[in-house]
Amino acid sequence: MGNLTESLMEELNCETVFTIPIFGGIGVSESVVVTWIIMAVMVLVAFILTRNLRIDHISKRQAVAETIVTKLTGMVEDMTGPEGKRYVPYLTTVLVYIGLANIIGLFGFKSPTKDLNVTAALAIMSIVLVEGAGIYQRGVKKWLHKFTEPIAIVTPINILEVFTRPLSLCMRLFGNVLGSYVIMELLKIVVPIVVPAAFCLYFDIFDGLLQAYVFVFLTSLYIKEAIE
Amino acid sequence: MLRLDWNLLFTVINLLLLFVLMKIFLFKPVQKIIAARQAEADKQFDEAAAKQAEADGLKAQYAKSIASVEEEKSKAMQETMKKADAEYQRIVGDAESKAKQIKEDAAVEAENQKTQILKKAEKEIADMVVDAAVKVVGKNSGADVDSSLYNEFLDKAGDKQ
Repeated sequence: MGNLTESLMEELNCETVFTIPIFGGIGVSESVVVTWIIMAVMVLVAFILTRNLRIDHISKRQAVAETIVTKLTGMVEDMTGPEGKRYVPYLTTVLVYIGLANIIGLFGFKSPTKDLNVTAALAIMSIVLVEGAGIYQRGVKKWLHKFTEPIAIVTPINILEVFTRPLSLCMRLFGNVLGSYVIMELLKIVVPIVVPAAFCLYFDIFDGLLQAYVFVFLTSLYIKEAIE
Repeated sequence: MLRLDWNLLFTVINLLLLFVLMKIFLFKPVQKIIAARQAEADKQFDEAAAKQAEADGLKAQYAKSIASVEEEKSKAMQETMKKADAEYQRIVGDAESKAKQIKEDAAVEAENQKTQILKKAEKEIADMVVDAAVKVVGKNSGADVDSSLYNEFLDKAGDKQ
């Protein structure tokens, strides 16, 4: 068992891949490097799909690109509402990124979302986007006034929400990915054949994509609430 | 695992970069092409509507011109009929007046002839009377004269007849 704990901890730890030799050495962790891989894949696929776009007699490649973009943006736009249209590209990008990050474990990489830095970064960006959208759409005065709604006494709770929302976003994603990973590792030790495959479908693929959806869904919900 | 450090900042930069790249390489081109297609479709619809309107206009124009032709035709027909009628009336009137003229002329002629004949007859009668008178006067006198004159006249008149 001691061996298992050790190997689990080893897997869970996000190792520093290399160190930038400034400010006494900044360690670049595995999650950042895997993120680069995901970025490279996404950009490459996008680049290949969007070559030679035409208005009519479209190629299959273009049809795929258009289907992906319209379906995903349509899905996100349904969540944000028409007023939040300007935030759709970012949310769609995040959706695809988290989805890929969660299932990239299948390809032998360590999921970036297993690193708290990544989920925290995503959550902080989300809350910055939410509050930024609120200020942009409503103006500073109305945005501040929103904290006292519906009655003044809830103001502290509303202020607290600015911190609890990203925290919950961050921890939900991190906890789900971590939890499913731990369960899968334990399951592989208990029943090494057949059974893990079935559970892998749920924990690695379904839960991974579901968490991506939940993260974007909640962010869109907050944005929608902030701008209306 | 549970540590926050520089990698958070790196991740933020990564995500922003990814967002920008995705926007440049995926969202913008696809949305641009979809918008272009929409514009193209709109344009085609507009063109079709314009053509339809043009066709409708032409149709109305044709209908109008056909109607005007029809109208002109009937007008010309009416005019012609009117003219023909007038001509007919004129000819008939002419004929009537000519007939009347001829009739009158004939009557006048007949009257003239009658008068002539009568004059001639009168003259002849007078001649005969004179003749008879001369003859009678030469032969007899008194009542015999009268009766012989009368008989003579009757004889002569009977001869003449």
